[in-house]
Amino acid sequence: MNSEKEELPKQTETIDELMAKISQLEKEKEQYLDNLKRAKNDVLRLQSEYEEKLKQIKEIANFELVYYLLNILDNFELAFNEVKDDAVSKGFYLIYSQLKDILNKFGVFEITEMKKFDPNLHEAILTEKCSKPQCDKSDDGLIVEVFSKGYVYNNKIIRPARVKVLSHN
Amino acid sequence: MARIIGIDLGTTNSVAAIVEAGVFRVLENREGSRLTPSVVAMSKSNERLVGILAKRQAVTNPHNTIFSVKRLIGRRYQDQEVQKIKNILPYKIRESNNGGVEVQMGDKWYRPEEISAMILQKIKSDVEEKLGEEIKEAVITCPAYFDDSQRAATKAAGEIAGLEVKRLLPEPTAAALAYGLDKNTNARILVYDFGGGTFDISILEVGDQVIETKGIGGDTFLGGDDFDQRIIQFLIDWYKKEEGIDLSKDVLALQRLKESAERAKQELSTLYETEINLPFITSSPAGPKHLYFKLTRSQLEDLTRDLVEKSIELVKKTLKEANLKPEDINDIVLVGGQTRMPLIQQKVKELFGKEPRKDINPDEVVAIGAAIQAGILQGDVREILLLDVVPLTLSIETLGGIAHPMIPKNTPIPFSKKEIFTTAEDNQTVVEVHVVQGERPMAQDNKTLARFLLDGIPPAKRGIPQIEVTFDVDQNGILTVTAIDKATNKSQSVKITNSVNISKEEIERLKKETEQYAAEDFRKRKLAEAKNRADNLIYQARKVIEEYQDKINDDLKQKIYDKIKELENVKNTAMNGEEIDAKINELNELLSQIGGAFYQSPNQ
Repeated sequence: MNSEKEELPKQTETIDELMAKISQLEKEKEQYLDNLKRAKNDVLRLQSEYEEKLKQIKEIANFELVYYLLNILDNFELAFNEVKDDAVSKGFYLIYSQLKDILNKFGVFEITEMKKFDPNLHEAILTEKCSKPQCDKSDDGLIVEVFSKGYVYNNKIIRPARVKVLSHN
Repeated sequence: MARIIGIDLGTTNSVAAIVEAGVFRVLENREGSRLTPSVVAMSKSNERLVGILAKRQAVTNPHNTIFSVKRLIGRRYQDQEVQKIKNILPYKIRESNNGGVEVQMGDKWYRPEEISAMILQKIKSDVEEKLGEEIKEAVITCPAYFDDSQRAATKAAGEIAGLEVKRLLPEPTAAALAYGLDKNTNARILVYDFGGGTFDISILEVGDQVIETKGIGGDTFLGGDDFDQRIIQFLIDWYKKEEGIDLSKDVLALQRLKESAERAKQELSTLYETEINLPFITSSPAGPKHLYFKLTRSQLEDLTRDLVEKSIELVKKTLKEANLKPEDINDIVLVGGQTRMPLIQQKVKELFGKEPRKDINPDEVVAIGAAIQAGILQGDVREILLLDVVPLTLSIETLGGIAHPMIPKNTPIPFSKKEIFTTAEDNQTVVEVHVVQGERPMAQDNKTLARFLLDGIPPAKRGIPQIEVTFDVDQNGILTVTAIDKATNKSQSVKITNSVNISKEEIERLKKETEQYAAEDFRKRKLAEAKNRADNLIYQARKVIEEYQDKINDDLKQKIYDKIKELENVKNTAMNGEEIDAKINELNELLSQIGGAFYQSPNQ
């Protein structure tokens, strides 16, 4: 027992050392706790992101399909510009309406604001010089022709309307 | 710590990416796209537009829509490149006071770096919105051929946008980083970057901690757009010949053709044939006209072969200038959307005699490399991740001596995995759990870490008892293996302390061994699996005969017994799985006759 006592370092030193050790350990503990909290937060965030991603994936998967289907709508419209008003074309028009109706049900809607050019909704393909006798600045940017309609899908522009725009100067 | 993002500031498009917990991720912009067009405009209503919105209004506002500003950044007005493109660009360019370049947008003149800054600013704010935190630092890429002035200007663009540029990374280096090629010291890498409008070649050499550029080449006016143009021109010519109508005069038709050509080009990277189907493309006095053409991959290749050949010639030239031969290159990295074209991949492979790297999306690989560099800078690195992994696969021995992996190598720890096993024989009351470490498929060829018995399993038919085995590696790398009999809850476990701390040399040695014995191991494993199948079938066959004793005629019964004996013999002597499988098939054939016999003699 005696010999053990002798081996103990001086008390002052021991306290200093221990204090240093405690603060070192506390620091480490803080760091570990911080890391753990971060990791936990990451998991929580990833979980909610994962759910959001799943939703997005569903949308994206449809997005491409819808995008290609819009070409068919366009082609119907191009066809209606050409054909006479007879029973056959009426029948095709009904098919067109059917397709449009289905797309509507899935959240696809035509862009209807087609007066003035807005890059948020439209893509300018061509411009036309204003030929009116009294052309003023307010005519600038007016849409004069729609080449293909624009569509919104789940509140996002899936395809801007392609348009010809009037230019003042 | 705040995050650092990686940005590929491109001539046509820009991309942003981050590294998150060691995994890279390309970020979508506010419009939901991973690519942001590098276009800036001052709209007629004096609104600044960046990205896709600026692009959409370009034709209405060509003088105030700035694109390809990367071709101007950091250059002097008198530079050949500037003089060459100034007449092509629809916006105004002038010499600045200090001999640099300025472009006009709206009423103001801007330095190119200010325009680039607007693109970076949009990327920054889109990323901030996406991640919900402020971004202050970035790694931005620039071409390898950028000189000091161009680099300084690119860096300035970042600073103007409110981003501290932690590093300006050459694009080819970023691509190499994305593939982790920075670790192969002394390797030479050729980066073949075929973008939309430019073609860049870089030869890199990986040194100790640095990647040096050994040679550059390319053509700043050769790109994927040239390929689209070839398809469009071909279709216009073809239509003129077929229908006598020039579609190039019809803006809408041309627009539709352009879109179809782009799509056809993309599709022919994976398909051999695609259709270009444009009803009502135009109209003539005789009525509406349609365009329908089946374009094959080989047609596309014929149309564009010279462009591909040109790029290969440029690669050869660059190699020659660097005093290198194709065989001096260890790795080839493909960058840019055009490199998806199979002909390009094939020609590159022919030249170098090896498969180029192309697994990472070539449109995003540079941004990903930038994000990885950012990750290294912010300490969220792969190295850290690699420290805490299981270095070798931990497996359990199953029937026939097969090592069944429980925790594959490189799995981050702590980690735990549970799986249910069962008995191989009827009335088996003891199972032996043999834990091994290594990559070889047979347990005996791997290192044994522990072996223990779980006894007291109630007697039952084989396959009925459920023994749940758990492998758990804690954060200190201590592996605990526990086996529990689900029926009695009796359990047995063992702790192994040396499953993670293995020296690098030991891992290397084991890796070599795995490669060396790969073919032999494959044979052994197949043999073991075939033996297991044989055992199973013999067991089933005996059971069936026992069950239907009276219904099977003696002749068939004898035949089956004989075949069982044959299979048992083969099983014990065969050197490979095929021999056993052949006999298994024969026995199966005989067994199927039992069923047939039942139906042939109904109600007798």
